[in-house]
Amino acid sequence: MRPPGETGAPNHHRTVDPRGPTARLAADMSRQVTTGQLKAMIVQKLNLKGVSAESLGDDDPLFGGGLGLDSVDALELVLAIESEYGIQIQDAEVGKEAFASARVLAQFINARLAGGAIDLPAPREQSA
Amino acid sequence: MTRREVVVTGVGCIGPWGIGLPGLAKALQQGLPLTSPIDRSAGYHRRGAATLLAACGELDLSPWLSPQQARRMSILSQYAVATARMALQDAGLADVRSDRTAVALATAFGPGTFTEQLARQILEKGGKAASPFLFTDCVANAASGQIAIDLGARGPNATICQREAGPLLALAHGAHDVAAGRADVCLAGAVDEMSPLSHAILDRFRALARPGGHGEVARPFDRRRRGFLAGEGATIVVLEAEASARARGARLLCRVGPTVRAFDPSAGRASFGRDHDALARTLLGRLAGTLCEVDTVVSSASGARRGDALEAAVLRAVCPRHTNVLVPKAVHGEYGGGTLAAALLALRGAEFGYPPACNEPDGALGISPASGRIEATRVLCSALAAGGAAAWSILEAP
Amino acid sequence: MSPSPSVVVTGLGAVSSLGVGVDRQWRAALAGRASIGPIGLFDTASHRTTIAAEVPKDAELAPGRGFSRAERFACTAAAEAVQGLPPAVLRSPRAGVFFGSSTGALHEGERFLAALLQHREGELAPLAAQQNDGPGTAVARMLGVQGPVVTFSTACTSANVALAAALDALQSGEIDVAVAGGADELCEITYAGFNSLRSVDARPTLPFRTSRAGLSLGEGAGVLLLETLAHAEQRGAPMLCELAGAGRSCDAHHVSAPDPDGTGAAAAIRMALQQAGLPPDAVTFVNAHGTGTPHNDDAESKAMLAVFGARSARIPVTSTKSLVGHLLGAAGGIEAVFTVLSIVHRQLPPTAGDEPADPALCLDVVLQQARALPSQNAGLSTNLAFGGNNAVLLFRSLGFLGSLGFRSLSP
Repeated sequence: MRPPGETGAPNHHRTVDPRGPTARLAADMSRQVTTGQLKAMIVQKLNLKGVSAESLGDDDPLFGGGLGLDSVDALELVLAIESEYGIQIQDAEVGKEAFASARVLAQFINARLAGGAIDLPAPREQSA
Repeated sequence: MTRREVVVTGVGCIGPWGIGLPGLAKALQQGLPLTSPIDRSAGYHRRGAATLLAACGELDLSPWLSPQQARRMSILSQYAVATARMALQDAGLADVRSDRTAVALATAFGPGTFTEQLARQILEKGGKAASPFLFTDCVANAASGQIAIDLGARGPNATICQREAGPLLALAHGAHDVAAGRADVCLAGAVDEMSPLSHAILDRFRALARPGGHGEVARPFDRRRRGFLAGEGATIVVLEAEASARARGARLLCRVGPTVRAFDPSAGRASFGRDHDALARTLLGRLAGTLCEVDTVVSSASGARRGDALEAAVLRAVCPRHTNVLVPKAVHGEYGGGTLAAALLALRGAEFGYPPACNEPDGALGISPASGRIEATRVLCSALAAGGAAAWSILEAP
Repeated sequence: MSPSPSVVVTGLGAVSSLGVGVDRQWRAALAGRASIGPIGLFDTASHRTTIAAEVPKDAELAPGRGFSRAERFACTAAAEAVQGLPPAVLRSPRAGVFFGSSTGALHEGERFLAALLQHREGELAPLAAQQNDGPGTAVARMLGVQGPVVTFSTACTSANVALAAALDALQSGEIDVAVAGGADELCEITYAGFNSLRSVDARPTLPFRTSRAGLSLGEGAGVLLLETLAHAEQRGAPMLCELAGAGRSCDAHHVSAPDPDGTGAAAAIRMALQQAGLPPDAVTFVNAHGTGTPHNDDAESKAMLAVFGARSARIPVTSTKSLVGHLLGAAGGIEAVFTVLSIVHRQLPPTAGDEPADPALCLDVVLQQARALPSQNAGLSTNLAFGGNNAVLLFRSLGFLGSLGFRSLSP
C-alpha cells in the first residue's frame, strides 16, 4: 500500500506495501497508548497535511474544529485503532464523545484495553 | 428544443509530456514516444511482457490542488481536479458554482491504484481491513464527483466508461447537455491512471507493444505494428454555449461539431472487429456533407494490429484524399484524452513531427501519417475502442 | 417548436436474487418476498456482515464460458427484453445500447489478483471485459447493434443515467430503438467497502423504518427495450408505458454522503417532471432509492417534502431494494423494471420487513401488502449515488395525459 503520509503526488513507481499482512493484534491488556502516540497515528493514517503530531493540541477538537475531518475520517481512524490495539468500537460510538480530542480518545482506548469504563466529558456539538 | 452551438473556451491537460499544451506541442513536434519503465516490483508482469508506459511521472499539481485538498484523493481524482481547474483558468472563468455547471468525464480504468490497494487489503487481511478512504475514492465516478465538489458543479454529472472511445463520448455527452440547455458550462474530457496491474493485464491480452522483434514501440499504421503504448493523464475542456461565451468576451478554441456514435459487433471482447463497411456507412450516413470539408484527422491509430487496420479502412472510405492524418498516440500513448488535446493544437496551428516509429507505413492500409505545420480548420477526431465502440467528433476552428 | 417525440417501453428483462425472468420476480415482489441471505459467492468470515441478495446459484443464465457474471446477467436480461423484436431492427445504426455498471468484472478481477498474489495465473478470460463497459458492450455484440453504445459508471445512479441517455438519443432522432439498463455483480471490494463505511445492515435492509441501519447489497441486471412511439406503432409493438422524463444533478457536497437536505435530489425530481411536462401533483407513486441507510432515507424524504410539500406524506412510496438488495450500477435498471410493471399492473410492491415506517420521515411507505394504484399513473424512480450524483426517471401510463386532462407543460 502506498505508505501513508506521503504526498499524493503522482509517481509512476507505484509500489504496493511489501510489508505484507499486519496480524490482527489481540487486545493486549497491559498495553497503553499515550496521547502523543495517538496524535502521530491520527496525522499519519488520515494523511493530514500542514499538521504534525506536535502541532496538534492534546485537547484540540478532532471533529467540528479546524482539522476539516468528516465521517469518513472518523471511520478510517477507527479502522486504524481497532487493528492496532485490537479493541472493538461500536458504530454508535464512532465520532462521538470519545472522539472529542486526542486526549479523550487515548483515555477511551486505554480504558477499553484495561477492560474498564471511564467518565467522558459532556457531549459537544460536532458535525459528522 | 432549440439546440445551441457549443464551443470550447479552455483546456487543461496533463500527461507524459508534463503539464499543459506547450509540453504536448513540443513532444508532438519531436514525434518521439514519451516512455518510461513500468514498475514491475509487485511481480504482476510475465516474462517478455511490455516494460514501458507513457507515464505522467512526478507532476507538481500544487498550483491547482493543495496537499490538504488532495489528502484523500486517488491519483485519478487529483489529475481530474487539477486539470479541471487548469481548464477553467484557461477559459478565464473564476467561479462556476451553479446547478448549471455540468461534468462529463470518461475513464477507461477508473482509480486503478486505489482499487488494487483496497483489493489487497481485503485479500491479505480480510474484509474488515478495508479502508473507507480507499473505498470512497475508488468508484469510477470519484473523479467527476471530486470535480463537482471542488467547483460547486451541481448540474448533470456523468462518467463514461467505454475504453478508447470514452473521451469523445464524454465530449459529446457534455456538449449535448450544453446544447440542450441543461447546462451553461460543462467540464468534459477524460482521465486515466495506468497502474502496474492494469498494464500487466493489458499485456496479457497482447494489447501492448512488447520487447523483441521490431522493438517495444507503438507504430501507428506501420507494417511492423504489434500493439499500443499504454499511457495516462487527463485532458479536460470547458464547453459553453457559443452565444454566452462570445457575450463574455471569451477566447474560443474551437466549435464543437457533431459526434457520430457507432458500434462494430464483429469485435471481440478485448479486440477490434473488421466491419469497416458498416462503420463507414454509419459515419457517412450522418456526416456526409461535413466530411468532405475535413482537412485533418486526429486518428485513433495506436499501433494495435487490427485496430489500425480498421481505422485505416474507415478513414479511406470517408475522408478526402488530401486529408492530413495525424497519429499523436505514437507520442503520448493510449488513454487520458491526449488526442483531444492534440486536436486543439492542430486547430491552433502546430508542428507535428513525423514519428520515426511509423516510417514504414503498411502499404495494405494505404494511410501515411502526416507531418509538418498543421493549421486545421475542420478536424475529425476518431476513436475506435476494443470491444466494438466507435466515435468520431468534428471540431472546427472558431 | 414541436414537442420531443414520445418514447415508450416495449420490453423488459431482469436477473436478481429473486431469479431470472421478469414474471417470476414480479410475483415475488408483489408478495413482498425478499431474497436476502447468506452469501455463497465468497467467504464472509472475515467481513463485518454475512448476507446479501445474491443471484441464485442455479439461475439459468445466458451461456458465456469465460464471461464475467455481470456480462452474463446483462445478456440474459437483455435477451428477455428484446424477445419478440425482429433481430434485424437491432442490427442497425438506428439501434443503440446504453448501460450502467459500477463493478464491471470486479469479482473475477479479485480472483485473478488473489491468484497473482499467490504467484499463480488465475482465469484470465473474464478480464477481457474487466472495465465497466464489459456488460453493456457484451449486450451490444450479442444483439449486433451498430448505433451508439455507451456505458455510464456513476455508482448507484449508473443505470438511471444510462436510461436518461437512451431517452435523449431516441428523442433527438439519432436512434429508433434502445436497449438500456444496467448490470453489476457482487464482489468482496464493494461488500467490504460499504461495510467499511458501516453502511451495511447485518439484517436484511429495512428502508424507511425507525430501526434502519444500512443497506443490503445485491446483484443482477435490469434492462428495458425503449422505442420512439412512431417506431413502436409502425411495427405493432406491445407498448407497456412511456418513459417521459429524466432529471440529473449533483449535490457537490461529499464523496459518499448525500446532501442531508436532499436539495440535489429534489432538483433532479423537478427536472424529470419538467421534461415530462407534469406538475408534482401528477405523481402517483415513487419507487425510491430507499437504501435503508439513515443518511439516504432522511435525505430522500426531505427531497420529497421539498418537491411535493404536504402531499409527500400521501404519495405511496416503496423501496424494492428491500426485496432484491441494492444492485449498485444496475439498481436503476431493475427498479425501472419494477416501476414499469407497477404501472402496467397498477400495483406497487410492498417494502419488505415487519416493522412500521419511521413516523419522522412522514412518508406513505407501502408495507405488508402490495398497494393498488389508480388506473393511470405517473411514477418516479429515484437514485442517489456516491459523489452526490442524482438521477431520476419519470414513467407514465400510455393514456396518462389524455385521461386526467393534464395538458403538457412543455411546449
